[in-house]
Amino acid sequence: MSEKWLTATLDRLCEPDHWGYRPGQVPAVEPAALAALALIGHGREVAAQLPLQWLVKAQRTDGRVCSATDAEAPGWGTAMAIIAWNAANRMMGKSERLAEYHAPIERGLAWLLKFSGKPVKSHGKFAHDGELIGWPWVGETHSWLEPTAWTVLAFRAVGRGHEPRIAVGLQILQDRLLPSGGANYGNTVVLGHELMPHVQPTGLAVLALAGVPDQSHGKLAGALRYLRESIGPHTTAASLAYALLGLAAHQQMPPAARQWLAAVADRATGRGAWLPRVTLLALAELTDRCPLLNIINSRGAA
Amino acid sequence: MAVAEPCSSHSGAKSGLNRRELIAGTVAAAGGLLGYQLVTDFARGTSPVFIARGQRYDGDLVTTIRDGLLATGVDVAWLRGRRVLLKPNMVEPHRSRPQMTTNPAVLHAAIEVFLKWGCQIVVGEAPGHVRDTEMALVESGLIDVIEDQRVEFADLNYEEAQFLQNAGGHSKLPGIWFSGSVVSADLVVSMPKMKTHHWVGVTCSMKNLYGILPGCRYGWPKNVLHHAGIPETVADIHATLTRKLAIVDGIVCMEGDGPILGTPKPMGLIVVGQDLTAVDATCARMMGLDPTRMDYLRLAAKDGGALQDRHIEQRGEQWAPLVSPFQVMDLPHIRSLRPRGDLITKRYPCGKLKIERAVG
Repeated sequence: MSEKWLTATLDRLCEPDHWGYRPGQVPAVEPAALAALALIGHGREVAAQLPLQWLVKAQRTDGRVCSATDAEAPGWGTAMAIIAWNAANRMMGKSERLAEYHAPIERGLAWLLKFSGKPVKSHGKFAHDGELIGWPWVGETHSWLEPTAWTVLAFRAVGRGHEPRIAVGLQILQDRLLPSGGANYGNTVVLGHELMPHVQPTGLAVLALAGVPDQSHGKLAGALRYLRESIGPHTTAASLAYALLGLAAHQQMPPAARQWLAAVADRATGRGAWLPRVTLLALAELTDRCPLLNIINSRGAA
Repeated sequence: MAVAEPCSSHSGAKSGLNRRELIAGTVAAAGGLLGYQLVTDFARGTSPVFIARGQRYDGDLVTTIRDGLLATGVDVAWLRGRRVLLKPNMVEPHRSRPQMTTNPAVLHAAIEVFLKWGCQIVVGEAPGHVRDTEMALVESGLIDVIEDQRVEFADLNYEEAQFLQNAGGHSKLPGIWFSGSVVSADLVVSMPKMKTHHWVGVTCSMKNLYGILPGCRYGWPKNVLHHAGIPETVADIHATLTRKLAIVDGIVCMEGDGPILGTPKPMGLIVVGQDLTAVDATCARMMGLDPTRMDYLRLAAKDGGALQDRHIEQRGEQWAPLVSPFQVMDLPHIRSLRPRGDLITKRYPCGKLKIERAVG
């Protein structure tokens, strides 16, 4: 089986013009963090320093990490940066040449603890508990699934999964799983209709929920079943990557995963744009060596 | 037309005016108001909206769209060499629900028209509910058009954005972040699916413009806009984006619980216009809804958009014979858009849905 796509991807991730969402675009937090994680996971720790240092420079004095320079720039990528820095720190035991990222991690965590979603009363319009406080995409807006999942993963990664707000975050993730299986951006039933699931957020949610007591009343099992039944070589890259990471975290990796990754990578590379999709495939290819999966097994994970 | 009510100072009982004087005064006041209205209407002019009926996805949509654009005053000479961003609706695609998103055939035809006119084409969208844009392109079928036509696709969710001052001023937002490809385009073509919307009544060419704003600034969904007021921000985006026009996929629409979970409603329509308020108002009328009761359209009318029927010049077909009332949700703010309460989707406590005619 050809692994040329993987080598080519990792080579490109060593260059700054591949830390944005498109080739040649200015770096952005999410692609840079994912690039660093992929490089670390595949043993290129030295190359990973470049995007990691870029993330340090992108961090504001208040602790949020954002690529935009205006005062109101959202910091939803902060948790991803923390996870990447922490993965580098975990590698430090193997190489002293690597920089230490303790300070930016602490600043980022402090900002995340102060940043919260806006509670919203349902008034019968939607089914989830809108008054649980998790993390929003942007300040002064509601808590949503992906930013909450990333924050849960970040705190678990650094061994602070016991934080009270993370307990609520886990509660939110379970609450936002759909009754029929899967998850979406974070709504479940609106005006009496159950919404549709999507693979990417479902994968991320089950990843963040792995290894913690299941209080979802069967919804977690339903989400995993939805993933198993939904993915294959036809699945688009980012969705496949998150699905495989989520399934792997629950020891349910499909046997044909590696073949699917290679097939999807060839197609994704041909479609150009949105660099992170191929990076994500590189992360998913790591399976048990993936820094995101290491979070589940780390100390103080939950 | 409205006749002015006599104000209390002209009341016969209070001022001592006799009945003849009262009637004469009332007629003069009404004539004055009518005159003012005529002057205002004349100064305002009308906005052309083109309607084509009997359309099919496997039909000659290139001719329909071209004819519609020409009929509504598009300047072909100006378009030559211009960068045109086509913005279809891909909010949350699913291949089993094609009524949710702009049909690939409509996009394909629009691309052909603008290419023949010498434009540079970019297709752009910032799906509001899904972050995997590749998935949205595949599920909607639009990836096949983009790859077949070899046009550029701009993922508007993840581009560097530019902050423009809010030209509408209806919401509290001081400005709006627009994706780079939108700012650099000479013309933005809103290509919505004609659908009901469970919060604002109708989603068409104006609401479709939520999808030109980057999720990396506004989130998934674009909650910043919801918290600032959906009608207000729809109107603000519309006011701030200067060069735009609309090509509406009204062939198979969505009724019921739009904009995601509604059911197909075949209408066979393509609607085109440069005044998006007029386009949306016309579509609402054909859906059996009163656009003058829709907040975002009323706000856009304050900014100069044509909302009243007398301010809209129909090209192609007339809208009235094409009215086919859409089912709408049985919610107070939606019922008010259809005073007679035809064909509402009623939700019972057990969760069962039933379509019936509402009373009142």
